[in-house]
Amino acid sequence: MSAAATDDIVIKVDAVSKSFRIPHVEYSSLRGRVLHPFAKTTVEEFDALEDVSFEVRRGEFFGIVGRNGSGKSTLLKTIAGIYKPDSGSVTVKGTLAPFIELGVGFNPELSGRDNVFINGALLGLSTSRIKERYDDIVEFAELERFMDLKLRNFSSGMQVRLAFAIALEAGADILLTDEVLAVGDENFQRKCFDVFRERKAAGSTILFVTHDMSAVLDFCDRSMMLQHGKVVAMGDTREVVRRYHQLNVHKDEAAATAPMATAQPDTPAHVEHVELLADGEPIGKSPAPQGTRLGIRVRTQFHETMVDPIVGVVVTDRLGKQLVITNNWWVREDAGTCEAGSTLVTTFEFDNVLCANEYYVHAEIAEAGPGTVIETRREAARFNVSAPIETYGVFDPAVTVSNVIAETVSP
Amino acid sequence: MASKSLRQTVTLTGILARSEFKLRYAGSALGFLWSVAKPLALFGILYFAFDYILGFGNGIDRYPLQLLLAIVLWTFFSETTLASTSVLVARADMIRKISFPRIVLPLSVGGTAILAMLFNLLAVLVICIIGGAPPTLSWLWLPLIIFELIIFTIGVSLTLAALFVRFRDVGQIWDLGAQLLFYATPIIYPVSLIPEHLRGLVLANPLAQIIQDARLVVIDPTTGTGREDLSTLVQVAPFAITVIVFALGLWIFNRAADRVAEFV
Repeated sequence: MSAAATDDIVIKVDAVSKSFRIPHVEYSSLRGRVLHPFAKTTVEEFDALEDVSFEVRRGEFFGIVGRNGSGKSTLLKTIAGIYKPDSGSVTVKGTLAPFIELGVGFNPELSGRDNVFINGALLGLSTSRIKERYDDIVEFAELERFMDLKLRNFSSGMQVRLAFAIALEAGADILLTDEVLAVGDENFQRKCFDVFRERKAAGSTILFVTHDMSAVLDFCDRSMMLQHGKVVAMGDTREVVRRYHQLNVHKDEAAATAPMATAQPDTPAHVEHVELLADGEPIGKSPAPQGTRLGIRVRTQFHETMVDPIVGVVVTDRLGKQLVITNNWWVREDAGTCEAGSTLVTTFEFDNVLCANEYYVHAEIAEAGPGTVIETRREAARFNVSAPIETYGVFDPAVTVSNVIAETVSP
Repeated sequence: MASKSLRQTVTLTGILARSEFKLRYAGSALGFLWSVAKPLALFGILYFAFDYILGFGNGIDRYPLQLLLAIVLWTFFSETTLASTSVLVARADMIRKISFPRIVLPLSVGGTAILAMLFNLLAVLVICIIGGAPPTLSWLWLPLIIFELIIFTIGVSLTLAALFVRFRDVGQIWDLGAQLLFYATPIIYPVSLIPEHLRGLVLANPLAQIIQDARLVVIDPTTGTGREDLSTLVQVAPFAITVIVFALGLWIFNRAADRVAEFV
């Protein structure tokens, strides 16, 4: 590895193991307890982390996924310095936010103002620094009028806003977050995500632990999956998310924990990218306007030569209800021969009559025929639809209305 | 890094101590006056029982003042050590979620108690002036004696706090230990009532020395501390014990601090 690349590593977790001793005390009877006060208690060793190693580079958004009890939080706490590893080491370069949760030390009986000082000091800020930044913190949290109230009179959303605003002032270049994004109202959430993007652009590093696969897909460059305290997958976020689904939805442990290759040579094709268009123009993350031609462009990479592969997409709403299902085979648009190493671009277009909401695109590749499904990429893309008027339901197919009073019956 | 964490320790201890003090009396009509009222009430009870009924104070110069001063100093020691014992477990939510110098928690308990003690001492000094112990230059020794008391108390508190995390019996043991220490220290009884052969043992206790010295400098510089005619060993022992207890407390606490998050 070159010197420059080594310099870039801000978190190095090297063969970290951590186990907890869980004592089993048998309180069978009070008498037994009195007679044998020093009876040996049996202790169970629980391995929360086993030989975990990974590196995070400067400016990276690194996701850690896994089910409850897989060791995610223990790992985060070990990096934060809350736990000490039994063996192995954690090396951190730069300043690390020492918390894994927002608003630690908040006291409901004290005023918002007092809590800013307590929480700020816990995050390592000096009193003079907090005083200096106090107004900015309050302004960001949008709580100017409430700071003299006791914290218990704050709504939970207000508390989170305050906590988040203080945490940002801690000015750490490495942030550890454990499911903190799913809080606050939509407006505030957007503000938080904007801050994360800004931080990312400014070279901050973020370690992000979550169950929210769409947030991981949105933010994380690389990810890692933990299972029973061991690293079972690491690398490209989309691939890690796919394996998370294999493990937790399809219960296919063997496939999910198989060694990861960067380009899956064992599958003949791979959905590389899914992008949204409006009237033929890529829209990025901005909403697709209702009334335009909505385009879904799928880039498929071939590792083996395939003839007339089937490329399909499914559009679902947030709850997973399938709204549009289509593919190039049903509409008789054959892809022809796709040589190994080539990339096929398939574009689906239809009138955007969707109501203003959030939607997901899932992509799939199958052999001609229709034959075996080669790959299913769940939540390959996500998009919003904007509309001039807000309606309910799923579709708003350019409805026209006319009113005519047909006849009047005299009373 | 070391200076940064030292700065954070100081800042955080101050903030937590002050907010805890604020919280303790928030919502009560008398507010922080309770911090003065409680030792006074204890004084009233003890005075009634031990002086009025049992006559411990007979022939003792200004016994009520002596008792009051001792109670204020004792209250600081017992409150701090009792509250510190469980403070790590009580603040478990904080410990498990953020990394910060753990020593801040017992220190802030001490800080809160120091604030209360300062109000109490102020009241005691006022009462002294009214009650016939006018200010003298020897009062200037008092801050040094208080400093020794704080050092000793913190040493004991750190030890208890660290041990309690692993051995919860420590809480019960210290409940009893503190009571024992109360009666083993010349608070309610004068040194003259201690049998000759036990006097050295009793006065080697730093709390006994602190209380006797405080009485000497505040109330009556002419009476002795009771240590004068004892061996050099007894003269030096309280100070040596204070230093050892403090060093031991720091050492035990720092050893335990790394793994506190796992056991609270």
